[in-house]
Order: sequence, then C-alpha cells, then structure tokens
Amino acid sequence: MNFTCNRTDLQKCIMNAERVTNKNSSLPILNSVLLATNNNTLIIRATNLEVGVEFQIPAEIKTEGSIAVSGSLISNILISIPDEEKINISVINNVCKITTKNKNITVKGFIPDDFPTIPIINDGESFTIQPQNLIHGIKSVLMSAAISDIKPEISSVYIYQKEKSLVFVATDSFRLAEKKINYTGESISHGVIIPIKNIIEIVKVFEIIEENILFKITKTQISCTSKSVYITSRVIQGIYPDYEQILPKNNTTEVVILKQDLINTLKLSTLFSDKFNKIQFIVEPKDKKCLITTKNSDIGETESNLTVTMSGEPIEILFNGKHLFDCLNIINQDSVIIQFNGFNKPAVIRGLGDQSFTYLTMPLTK
Amino acid sequence: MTNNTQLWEKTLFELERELSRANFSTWFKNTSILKQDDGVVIVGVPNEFVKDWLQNKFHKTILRSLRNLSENVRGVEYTVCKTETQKPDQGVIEKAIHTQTTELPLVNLYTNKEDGLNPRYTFDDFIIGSFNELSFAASQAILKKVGTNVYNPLFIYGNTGLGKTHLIQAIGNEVKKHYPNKRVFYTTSEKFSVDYINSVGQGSKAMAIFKNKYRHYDLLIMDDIQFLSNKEKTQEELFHIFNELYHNNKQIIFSSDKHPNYIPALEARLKSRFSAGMIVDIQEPEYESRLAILRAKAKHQKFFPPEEIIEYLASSVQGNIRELEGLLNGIICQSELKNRNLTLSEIKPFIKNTSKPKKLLAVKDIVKVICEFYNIEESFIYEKTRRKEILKPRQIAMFILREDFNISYPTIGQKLGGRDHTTVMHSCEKVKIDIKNDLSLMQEVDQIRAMF
Repeated sequence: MNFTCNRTDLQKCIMNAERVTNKNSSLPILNSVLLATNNNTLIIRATNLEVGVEFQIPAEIKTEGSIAVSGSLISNILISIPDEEKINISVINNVCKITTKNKNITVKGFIPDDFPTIPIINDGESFTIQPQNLIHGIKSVLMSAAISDIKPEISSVYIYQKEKSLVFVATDSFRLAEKKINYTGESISHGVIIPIKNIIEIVKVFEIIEENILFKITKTQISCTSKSVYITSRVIQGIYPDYEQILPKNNTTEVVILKQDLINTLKLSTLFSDKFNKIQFIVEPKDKKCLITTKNSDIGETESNLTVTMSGEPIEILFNGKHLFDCLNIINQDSVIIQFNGFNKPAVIRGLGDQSFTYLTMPLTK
Repeated sequence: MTNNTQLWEKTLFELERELSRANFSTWFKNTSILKQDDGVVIVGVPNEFVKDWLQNKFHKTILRSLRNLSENVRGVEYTVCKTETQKPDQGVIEKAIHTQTTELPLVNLYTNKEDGLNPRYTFDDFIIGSFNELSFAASQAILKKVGTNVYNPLFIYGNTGLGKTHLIQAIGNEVKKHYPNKRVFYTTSEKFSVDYINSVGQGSKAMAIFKNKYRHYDLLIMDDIQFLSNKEKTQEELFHIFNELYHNNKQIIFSSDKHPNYIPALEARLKSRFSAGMIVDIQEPEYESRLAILRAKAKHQKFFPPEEIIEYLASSVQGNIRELEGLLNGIICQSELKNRNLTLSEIKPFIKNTSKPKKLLAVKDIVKVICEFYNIEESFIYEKTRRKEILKPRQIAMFILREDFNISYPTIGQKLGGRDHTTVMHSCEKVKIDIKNDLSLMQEVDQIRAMF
C-alpha cells in the first residue's frame, strides 16, 4: 500500500476514529484504526463493537492495500507534525512508513484481516435529516439520560416520529427531557433507542459535517450515512416507557421568570445546598412572593427573592438544583415558565412560548 | 433448554482451546444457543458486530465444534438477541443515593407500542385456583398450537378485577417468547373502534391500511369486548377481520365482563362466532386462592406481614382481586408509615372503611324506584291485584330486596302488602329462573340494580 494525502484531512478523521476505538480491550486490534485504499479514496475505520465508524477522504494512491495501526499512536503522531501539509504512507510487511517533507517515521501495524468488519445495513426503514437538526435534538435531551447501565433502555436517547416532528427523549427516571424538531420527511413507524455512549459519538462525528444524513433503522442496529462518513451503532432492543402518560396536562401553580435571574439565583443557591443539591421554592401568588432558599448546616443559608409573574395555589417544594440548572442551558428563550403540580408531582419547565422543549423534574421528598 | 446450554458450554470449551484468549473473550462473551431447529443451531449474539465477525471468521470453526459434539447439526445461524444485564446490587446502591427523590412513575408504562402488550403480565406471577383453572388450561392449550386448536376463538369472561387482562396479556407475552416469528397484537375494543373511526375520517387509503393492519397478525387479542355494544359499524369491521383471521387459522382471543349472549346490542352473527370456539368464565376466587394471591402480591412487594393478617384479609374480603390488592397496598403503606407490622386490631377498622358501604335504603324507596322504572303507580304494588303488569314489578322488587338488601322473607312479605313469606319465596325463585332464560328480563334487572 502506498498513498499520499492531505495531513489536516487525515488528522481530523483519525482523531474522530480514534475516539471510537476500544482502549481497554484485551484484543489489541480493537484499539487500532484501519487504513485501506479504494480507488482514489482512503478509508479510515474504527470500532469498539458498539459503534463502528468509517471515513472516506480523497487520496493519491499509488498501490492499493490496507493496514491496521494503533489509533492513539497515529493520532498523536499527526498532532505532533502540524507544519506538514502532505503526508505519504507506505506499507511493506505490515510495517507502516510515514514520510513527510522533513520526517521519516516507521510504525508497526497489525494484520488488517483481523480487523473487525462493520455491519452494513441494507434493509430496514430509512429517512434523511439535516445534521444540525439531529445534533440540536440530541443535545437538548442528552443531559437527562441515565449514566449507569442498569436499565439500558433509559441510559439512552429515544427518537421517534410524531405527526410532523421528530421527537427526542431522555430520562434517568428522576427527570425527563423531550425535544421536538420539525420534520417532514419519510414516515418512521417505530422509534429507536440508542445508547447514550454511542449517540455521543454520533454527535461528535456529525458536528463537522454539513451534508444531510441518511438514517437506516433495523431492530438491532442503526446506521447514519453522509457523503464521506458512515457510522453504525447497536440499538437497545427494549421498550421505551410510554412517558407521555406522565406529562402533566394541567398545573396548580405557574411561575414565569427571567432565565438569567433564575440562573444567577441558582448559582448562588447551589453554593449552599447539600449533597442532594436541595433547593426550596416558596411560591405565594397572593402575597406576590417567590423565594428560593437553601440551607446547609456546615456553611450557611441563602434566601433569594425573585421578581416573577405567578398564578395558582401557594406551594412550598424542594428540588434538585442541578436538575433545574441543566435544562436552563438548553432553553433559548429569555423567560422560562415553571409549572408546579403540587407536592410529590413532577414540575414542568419550558421556555416561554416554546412548546418544542419540555423538561420534567421530580421534587425531593424532604 | 439445559440441553442447549450444555451443548454451547462444550462448544465454547473446544473453541477456547483453538483461539487466543483475547479473541475468545471478545467474540464469545454473552453468546448462547437460542434454539435448535431441524439441525440448524441458532446462536444468539449481543450485537451486529459480533454477528458479522462470527459469520465471516469463525463460522467453520463453530460448525465443526458443534458437529463434533452433536451429530445432527447441519448448520449454524446467528441472530442478535437482547442480553439480560441484571445487576441488582448496583441498583440498590443507586437507589440509596437517590432516596430523597421519588422517581417519575415510569415503571408501569413499559408497554410495547408495536404489539400493545405489557411485559409485566406473565404466567410466572399468575395464580391458578379453581376459579380460573379452566381458562388457564385453555390458554395453555393455545400456547401449544397457536391458531390450529379447538379453542379458537377463545372467549374469556368474568367480572372486573378477576385477572382477565392479566391472563390474555400473559398468553400474548408467552406466544411472543416461544414463537418469535408470530405477530402478536393486543388491543382493547375501545382502541379498535377509535382506530376504525379515525380511518373512516381519512379516506379510502387510511381505510385500506386499517383493514390490512389487523389482518396480518397471527394472534389478535381484544380486551373488553363489551364496549362494542351499539357500535354497529365497528362490529361489522370486526366481523370481517374475524372471518379473515379465522379462515387463515390465526388465533383470536377476546375478553369481556359478560357472556357474549348478554352483551347488549351485539350483532347476532358476532355472538355466534364468539361461541364457535371456547367460552370460559373466570369466577370469583375462593378463600384458598385469595390466600395464595395475597401471599404472592405481598412477596412481590417485599412485604411480609404476619400470617394471621393475610388470613384475615383473605377471609373478610370477598371477590375482586383488584380490591384485595388495593387493601394490601393500603396496609403496606400504613405499616411503612408506622415502621412496624400492623396488628390485627389495627387492620380491622381499616378494612371496614375501605369495603363498600352497606346499602341502607328504606323498602319504600326501593319499591318507588322499581315502580318508576316500570311506570306504574306505587300503590298498586301493595294492593292485592294480580294484573300482569303489576305482578312482574312486584316479583322483581321482592327478588331485589332479598338478593341485594338481604331482607328476610317474612319482612318482605309484610312490607309489600302483608303477603305470606312463601309467596315471597316463590317470587324470588321464579325471577331467579326466569332471568336465566329471558334476556330482556336480565337486562331490566341489571338496569334497576344500577340505580341503587
């Protein structure tokens, strides 16, 4: 194998691919990336057996062939030679020779035949979506997904079509985020549950891409294809809870508040909250009073009076301040609306006048 | 089952010798034999990556090892299957962190959108007693031969809260487990008719989709069929779907709170079709079954009350399993609050409060309602007339006073114009027998009862 290509192109792809490699595998080939030539393109492939990615970049190819090399090693090499423009790689007997204008590097490779294949999806449903829409949808809900693997179906993001929107949902069973993105493409009959670790990779890969993404879904696997990238992930073969049933339809107390005010208050309050990030809301519409208080017996306590418009019944309720804070970064509007539903019922937070994003969080009990 | 596990363990043992340790542990972790079908071994793998790799790289090795161990193996296929990752220990740890937050009530919402089944309903926690053993036996027969058995359609009826939905959903879940290729669908008659009405509104294309949707299932389960009464067009549609499925030997299961013959305004042709297969009823559970149910439910909730409490509950609460469950939940809640087991004397008032209030109505008021229903002067009831239009309401009044309000025969006779207690006894017997033969009388009595 012998080819020449642009260093920046190669570096960008290798760094993305390297992230996917499995660093702790007992099988050394899994922490390597595969370089292979095909006509006038170079194929870069990596997988951790959960996600598989494949990039294609243009290259000048003298002889065809393939090699697997350690992902972290080659990406570090490329980072360390930032001044070089062109890079030539040749392979003889599984030894990879990297030549630039001023540098000669030799790297030991692995037999490419041992490199795992990446599943290609041929059947199943397909639809196209713009990368910025996909990423916006996923990022809006990502923080609510559960981190642990105990319940795989909720340490995931659930994507499904509902009427004229694509809905993204994530929950860790204490809070839930739902984002709707306008969608008018092909109809999708079944939703898909993608593990959170895998969807983060998908987001990172497509952040640098502008072409539309073609999604393919089967019961066990999804794939996303654009002009130069192919990424495939395992999906969770489970049932996503029918969360719509817990979205409250009405509310007992409603508060509209400037987002920046709330952010500042929360920042202050969380300094004094305990390990559960406990903060207390006291809302008294009759007296036109809305307070956020925190108390920590070791540090001290705060009480903030907020300027809000409010209606409904008075309420005193505890929340996890971090949960509230998380969603404020997602809301674009200047004002947020918080709807309480009484003791021990989830509260709903939305941007004022924006129905596309809904955030649900459970109060703390004591 | 064990046969498959053993075979795979032996195969893995052989493979382990041939492959490098790293290769073996990477590619054969979480694999198993799902089933053997005419010499074709179906191996379950955790994901597509492993499937591809086993197929392309290790297929020959795996096949050879399997052949060495079992002569009749002809081929190997790989499918991706769900891996069970149950780590209860970590679950406890996580719970401990979050003790102060209550979870969103998502637990009961894991219904599968594709087939409408709730995986919570299984036969594992289905308690069989004499009250439901017939329906259970019928469901087991269905599981052996889906579609092509004499129990098609299966019609299960019984009062509310006796486990009909549990049973039919469990059949669906079990069929799904044993026959992954069969398409199962569970719906309620209400959803079915909404679906139908929607498709009517959206033109012929939507109608065609609706018609096709229900026709391609191998097992159709429809719950609460009694709500179809008076919905003529929905009934007609169900009739056509029924015929289509039945002729193609697809299994159909219905449930209802009444025998099909007593569902009002149900078309005769549907009734006769429901009766074509097997009609079974679920009775109210008797004492021993109630005891078993309570024990199972308590165990399920990790609550272990003293035996005497369970026995007391089982003996004092009759009928409905759902009410039993409710009472048990109440007791669990109370004892969690007090952080100790409740005593029998604490439970007694609790049961008294939650059990239905006893109907206390004056005989006169009851008679008045019945007279209004039949549109006759109240005074006629107390007179000595034997006119037919008076006789019938009077007999029904006696019947209801006796059956529902537990008033003694002599008192009834005395209150209704000074009649002999034998007259009352005769009337009650007569109505009891007539109800069995006369559908319209049955409906009338039901309607009157609903007014109290």
